[in-house]
Amino acid sequence: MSRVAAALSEPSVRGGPPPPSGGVVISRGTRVYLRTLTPRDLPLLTAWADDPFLERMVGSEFLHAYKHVWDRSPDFYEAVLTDATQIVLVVEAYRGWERPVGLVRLYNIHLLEGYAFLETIITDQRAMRRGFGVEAGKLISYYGVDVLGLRRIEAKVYEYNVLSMNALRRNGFQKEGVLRQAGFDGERYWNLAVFGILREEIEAQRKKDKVYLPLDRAPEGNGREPA
Amino acid sequence: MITLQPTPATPGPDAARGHSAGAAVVRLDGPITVATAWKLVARVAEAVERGETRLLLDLTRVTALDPAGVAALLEAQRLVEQRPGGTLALHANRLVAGILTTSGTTGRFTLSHGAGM
Repeated sequence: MSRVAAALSEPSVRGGPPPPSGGVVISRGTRVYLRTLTPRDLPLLTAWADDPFLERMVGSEFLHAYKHVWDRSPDFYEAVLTDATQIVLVVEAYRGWERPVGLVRLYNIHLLEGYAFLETIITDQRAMRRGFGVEAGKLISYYGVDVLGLRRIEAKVYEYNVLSMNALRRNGFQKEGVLRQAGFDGERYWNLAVFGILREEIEAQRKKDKVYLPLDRAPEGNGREPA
Repeated sequence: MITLQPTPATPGPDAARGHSAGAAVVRLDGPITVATAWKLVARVAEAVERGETRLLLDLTRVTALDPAGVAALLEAQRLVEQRPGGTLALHANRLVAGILTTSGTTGRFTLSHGAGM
């Protein structure tokens, strides 16, 4: 079976129960899993788009489009579904996290040229500094390489967002340059740091991963107590 | 030169699986997106395993297509064309044709607009 076909294999064979929030699980890590966006997520998008902290730290064009271009219209969901240039996935954490902890997306996807941009938004401040963003970025990067055939992924970060820059570095991204005064937070201009990673570097990162092999589809426990 | 003339959505040939002028027809309904793209690859892989070398993908009833879906179409093409004499054509509706244009992949596919290839 080709790598793409294997990566595209039926979601149910990847193990684990379907997500309670709906959607289809696309990729699972040890801390988080990525699932598809559903119409039920739109109220969450509204809350995230209105969050001044996220606006300051991420400045997501995705959330900006939802709020200002689509005026929070439910038609936004269909537009994302039929968008040939991006894939948007919701980040869910295991155990004790009842709501999604963020979004991760590949955008400006150029399939034939083999590159795309990465955006990771951890929207729940309690979920920060737990490695969720690192793993979400890693999982979608693997998806980009395995399924979309990407050979390069870029990310842009405000230079004051040290947390995000460190998360990219932990995933093997390298700082490639600076877009001087390319970001504006409403008060002053900031530099944007540009990070990039190549396919072979993603593969090298993958080899460092600890292999996680769930034995069966049931949640793991100790045999006596519920998991 | 391939002229892109998207066809309006009409009932596809025969059933979900059939033949049209020597080509095996695989019809897909609904969205071909990150959640469902695996079905396309699986259906094409099944056809290739059955020995089909000339495939027509009927996409006239596809309602959504994202980059994962386009990647699946490219993978399906690779699966078919790696067999001697293998050819894959697409019977696209307006939405699919538009997305193939947007993604710059139109030139990678053979588009069929009727019986035969």
